[in-house]
Amino acid sequence: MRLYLEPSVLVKLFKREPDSTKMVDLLGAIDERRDWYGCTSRWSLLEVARALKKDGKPRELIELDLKELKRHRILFIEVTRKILSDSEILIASHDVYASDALHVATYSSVARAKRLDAMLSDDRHFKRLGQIVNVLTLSKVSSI
Amino acid sequence: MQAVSVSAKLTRREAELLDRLTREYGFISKSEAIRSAVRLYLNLLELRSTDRLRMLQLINELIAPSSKTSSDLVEEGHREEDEI
Repeated sequence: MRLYLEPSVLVKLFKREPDSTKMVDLLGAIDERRDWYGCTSRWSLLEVARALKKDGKPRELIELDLKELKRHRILFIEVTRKILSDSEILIASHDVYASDALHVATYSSVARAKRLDAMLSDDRHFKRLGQIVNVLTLSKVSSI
Repeated sequence: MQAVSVSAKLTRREAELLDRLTREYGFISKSEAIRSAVRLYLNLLELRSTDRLRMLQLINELIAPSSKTSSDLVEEGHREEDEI
């Protein structure tokens, strides 16, 4: 399975909550199996860092979590002018946050070239973004 | 065994904590306590990726437990950006 990893599922890697174990297994599959692939925007690192900060994690732990995230076989896609300009269009035409628009624009920019199956997200983002791109939740991911 | 010396600067608070824990855990010296901490840390980073992530999940929850979900936290971040 080839997935774009939205930040809400990346934060799960550093929390113990429903589906967080599944997310660890999924990243393990991306690391070790050729039939699995994961990418996200470089911007996601900032969103993950902010979420961990809001969760009360100390600086050293946030830095370690981010280093850990970068150590895996996830492709971090650069934020280009084209992606920003596509995001502007999305914000103007849909009721989405700037970050959501950036992820949709990034996903759309690489979906064909990277043969992505879906954007992996949580339920809340699934409802919001599911009308624009193909979104999948962890509970819907078949056996890893 | 060939040994290499590495020096590191600590904050006053870290140095005090190191002093206290060296005594409490009965390390023979602060150097021995640091060596033990470094070995433990390096062992953690050398674990297989899924084992390392599971350990890190536990460490995150033990150091800063929270009832907020990942979804809530990311959503809060989005709202902050929108308010700017």
